[in-house]
Amino acid sequence: MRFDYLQPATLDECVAMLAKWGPSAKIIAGGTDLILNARARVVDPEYVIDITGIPSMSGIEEEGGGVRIGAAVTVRDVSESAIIKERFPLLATAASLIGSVGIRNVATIGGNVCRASPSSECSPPLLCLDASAKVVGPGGSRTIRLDECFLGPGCTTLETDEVLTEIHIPPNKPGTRGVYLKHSQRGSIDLAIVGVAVVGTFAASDGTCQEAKIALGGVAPTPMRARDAERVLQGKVVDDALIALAAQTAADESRPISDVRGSADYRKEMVRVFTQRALRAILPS
Amino acid sequence: MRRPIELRVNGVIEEAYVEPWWTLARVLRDELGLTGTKISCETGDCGACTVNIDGRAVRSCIYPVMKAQGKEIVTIEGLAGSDGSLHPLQQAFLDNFAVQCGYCTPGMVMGAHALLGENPHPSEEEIKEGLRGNLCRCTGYNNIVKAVASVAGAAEEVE
Amino acid sequence: MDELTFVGKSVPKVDALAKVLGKTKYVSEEGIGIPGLLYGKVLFSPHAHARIVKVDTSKAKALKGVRAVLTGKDAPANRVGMLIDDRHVLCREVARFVGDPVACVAAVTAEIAEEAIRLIDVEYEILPAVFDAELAMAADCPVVIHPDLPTYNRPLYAYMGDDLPGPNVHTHHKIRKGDVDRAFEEADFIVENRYESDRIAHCQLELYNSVCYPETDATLTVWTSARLRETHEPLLQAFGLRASQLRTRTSYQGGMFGMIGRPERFTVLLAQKTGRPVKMVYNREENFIEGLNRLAEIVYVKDGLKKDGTIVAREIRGIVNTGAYTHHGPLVLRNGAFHASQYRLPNYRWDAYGIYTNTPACGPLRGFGSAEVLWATEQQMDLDARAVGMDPIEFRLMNTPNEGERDVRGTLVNCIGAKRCLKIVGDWIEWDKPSMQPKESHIRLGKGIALGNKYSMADTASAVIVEMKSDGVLEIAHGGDDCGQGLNTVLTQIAAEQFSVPMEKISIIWGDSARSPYDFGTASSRSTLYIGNALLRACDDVKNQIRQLAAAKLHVDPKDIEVGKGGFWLRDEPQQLFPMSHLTLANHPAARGAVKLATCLEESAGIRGTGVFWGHPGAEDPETGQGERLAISYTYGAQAAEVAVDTETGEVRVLRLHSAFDTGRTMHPAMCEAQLEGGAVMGIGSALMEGFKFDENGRLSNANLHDYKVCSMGDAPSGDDLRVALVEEPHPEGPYGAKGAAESAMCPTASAIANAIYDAVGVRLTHLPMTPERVLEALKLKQARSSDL
Repeated sequence: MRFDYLQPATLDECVAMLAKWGPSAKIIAGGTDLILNARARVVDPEYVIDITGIPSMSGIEEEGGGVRIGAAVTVRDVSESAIIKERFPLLATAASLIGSVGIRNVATIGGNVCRASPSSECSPPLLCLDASAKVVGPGGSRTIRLDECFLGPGCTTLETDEVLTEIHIPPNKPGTRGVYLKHSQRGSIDLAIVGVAVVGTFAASDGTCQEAKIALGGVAPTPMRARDAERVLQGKVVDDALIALAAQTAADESRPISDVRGSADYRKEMVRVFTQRALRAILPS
Repeated sequence: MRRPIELRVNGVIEEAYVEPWWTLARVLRDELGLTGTKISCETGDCGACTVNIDGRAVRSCIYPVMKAQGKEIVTIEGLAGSDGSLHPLQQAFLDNFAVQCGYCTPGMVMGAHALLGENPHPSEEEIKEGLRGNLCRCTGYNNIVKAVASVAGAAEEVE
Repeated sequence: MDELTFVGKSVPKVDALAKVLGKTKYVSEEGIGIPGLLYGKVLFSPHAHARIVKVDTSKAKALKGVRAVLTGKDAPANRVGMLIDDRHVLCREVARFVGDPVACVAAVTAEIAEEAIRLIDVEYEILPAVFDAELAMAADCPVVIHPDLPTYNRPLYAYMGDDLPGPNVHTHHKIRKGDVDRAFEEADFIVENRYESDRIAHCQLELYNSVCYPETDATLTVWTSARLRETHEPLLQAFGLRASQLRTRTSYQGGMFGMIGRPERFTVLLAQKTGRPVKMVYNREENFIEGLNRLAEIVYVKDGLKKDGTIVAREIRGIVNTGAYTHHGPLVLRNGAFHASQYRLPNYRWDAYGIYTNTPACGPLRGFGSAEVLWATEQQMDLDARAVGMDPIEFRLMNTPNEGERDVRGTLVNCIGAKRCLKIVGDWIEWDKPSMQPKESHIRLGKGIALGNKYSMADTASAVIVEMKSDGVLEIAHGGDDCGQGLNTVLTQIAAEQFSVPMEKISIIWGDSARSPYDFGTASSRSTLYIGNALLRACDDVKNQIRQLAAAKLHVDPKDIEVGKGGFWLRDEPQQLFPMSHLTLANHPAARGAVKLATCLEESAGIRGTGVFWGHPGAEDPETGQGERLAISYTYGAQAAEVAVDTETGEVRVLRLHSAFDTGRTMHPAMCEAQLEGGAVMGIGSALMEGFKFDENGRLSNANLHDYKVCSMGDAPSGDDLRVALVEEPHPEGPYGAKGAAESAMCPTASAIANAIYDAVGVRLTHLPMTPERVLEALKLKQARSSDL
């Protein structure tokens, strides 16, 4: 691999670099994916633009009941943030399950999203939380919903001259609980065979499920919402039988391939098992 | 085209001429003579290359050297005292026979150093989870866990 | 051992201080900063079987900074090997697996070398390939990987090549004892099964690497991260060099487990052609793809049993996939038969076939054939026990031979602590109490045990030289390897004990073919026994020389001199210690003045002793595999495991793993325990997580450390859940009664875990590794079968 390494001090500098070199440049945050991919010649940029020196890309702030997370915030900081652990614990869990602590100290939430791995840990929780991202380029800034931003493995709707600067998560409705489960053989240090995030909003009166969101990682070209499974639960009182049905539905709508980490059949079965476990975990007791 | 950079390593400002795509591990080993840090997988999976940057454990084999400018880097060579006295972790590794081939040792010690710096009294579970990404093929880990746990009690002296 | 000061004590390890300081110079550190150093890189075949039609190196040669681009015609024309000479240094006409080296380059930077590799144009004619060993061994297999096999030279174990059933079968090893067919007829029960193990990798942390320097006297010095002799002699053979033309050097290796070095061939070749020093490091992917990893084996076992639990007959058929070239393959498959030493088997038939396939060439990995066979036979023992209605431990105890019996090959079984080992781990795992099941109904616990052994071959030898230096330091030169197991420490302990001096007074020379005396090398769990014994003899030789010199000086009989504590004394006057410096040249009263120097040299130049230890092997009958002395020692051991199986995901967690091994007399308890712990944990990895995955084109798809999974700290039990007992049955031939231990700890682990899984969930996994997917599949199959009833 060979590239020039640029370290803009402001967002404007970064955008100017992207305007000049966009198609032959890559954004680097922690680098835990980019360096591997460059070495393996999966990508071959001439310029690498490091965004971690840009102050506006850092920080986790409360925002109207929700939260704003700078793209360059490390997943370690996401996993340990008091506000995220309190309001969106499934995201904190997911971030804590990314690789080893040495990776988490350096990898960023922006990188985890933009890498667009089908098994990205942060993406299923962000999909369930209706997260959106701010994206900036020479033409200005725009907001994209995360459930519309993944196009395929390693591919997002970002243009080559755009950079993701922050992630916004809207406030939870009352009565909302969420959980993220990762299935892998060696815990956090392995890539997920299957990841399942569920968020459910339950009525205080009778425990009816007002809204259910289920997102899956590792079982489709992109992280995906299991919308058929969500519809099984919507508006119902959730019992074991319904959970089993929702879990099976999620498995049926998943589209895994067989690869070195697992066969398609095994992944589908794991979707069923972990969706079931996750739903049981968020049921009001 | 190589360019001059400065790195603060083990309390010393080091100068190196580096290509912009080089990793910190390569520069430490090939340019600065600090070969204690080992390269074993180059994908960030084994932890043999672990150094501390601003007190945190970092996999130097995938960490761009350009990113390391302006940061406080500590390698295995920076742990012992200038009088040659061993850091408690190093002594504990010796006392507990936690060193066999020794190739994982620098990364393991630096990983433990960062762990104890952030969490001076970890439980055995926290030690194992915190060092899970440091692979060892020789020891079976038992003596390593004992070594780190033995320092965890007296960790007030750990920097 | 109470009267000993160093031997049998957990003294500080001699290499550990430098290692915790990060100061140890591994071979990986060699060459850094050397002016004019070139970086080497290899082009590997992307095809499993292909004819090399044309290689165009012009673009690569034209790249600025490239100093050499070499192909098969630039490398030696002779085929080389360990037991069968079947491989060229670089492919000449045919590439036989994905990863077969086709070309190599040397350039002024590593990046340019990588670039040059990409610029080499190879035109291949793709040939059909065969990956499955059972298909490849057929007489009519349409793919013939080595059509010239009948003409290949077989320097060692030549008799292992007869009556081969197919063109891709290179070895057939046989053992015959008694009348197996008749015994089967008379048996009350017959138990048969098929077992399979996937390939696994050493995954030592130090990447394979080498540096070769052309010296000014036209010799070459080559550094290797692998073993000394294992590297030196094959290089002499490959390049037609005399021993004095090549100096091979190594250092403390960053892990070994039986790995064989590969880059040395190319650094030597490139250094010869360029006249420049050349360094080559195999990246992790290359370690997996071209390293000689553990072979894949299919083992059929058929046992005949009596109602009372006696095994009356055993028949084994081993289908051993040694990959595209043999290397150590034939010896590994032959040595797998040593498994049988741990039971009394009056009638025995063993046929092990070594088979070429278009997969990576294989080599030995910790156990050298034992673990692959014990995977099968130790599960079989549980099946046998069930058939006769006996407890698995009782069944093993009943069929384990006693000291002094001969095994199926006619070799004496000695210091067999197996029974003690079984009892200890049975106690520790609370064998009589079933596992306590947790309240989560999808998790099931179970317990299992297995017995294992690792032989040490008898047909090896070691030589050691001990020299007394002028400052009283004893310098030991040996030809073994210290890869972390602590050989240098053990030898230091022995010498310190022999001379009653502090360990600091011992220095070790090793890893240098110019200074190390002959040694078979560190393999076969032999170093402590062989090198330790050779060292004892060399120490005796030194002591005798000292006695002679001292006696001349004191005008007494040499028999009256005692040697030790840095000096010598008269037996009747122990209070007067004469320092050793009295005898050494520098302090000789006549040393000053050249005139008298000649006489001094004669009297006391270099107190140097040598010791040789040879295993005195017996001959091996090629038809029956019988031999009176094929192994010099065995290390027997038992392991007991308790596992938790998640029946919804197939995940298996090892909650407890206890080991007890008969290590003869333990030289260094802490290091020995640490080795056994390490082996047990490596065994967990081999049992549950490790295994090569190939795609349909024979390409390795998990050649990295995130998809090839070794046991991490979170996967291994520790503390009281990972106990080790060192059971001491002194070996009559070992130094202080010691023998080797390091390999044995990994041999029975996978079976112990498989037996525990059976206890937990009633499924028998016969394909190693027992990944979650395979476990779940077996569980679903069992569920489907029981719902069919």
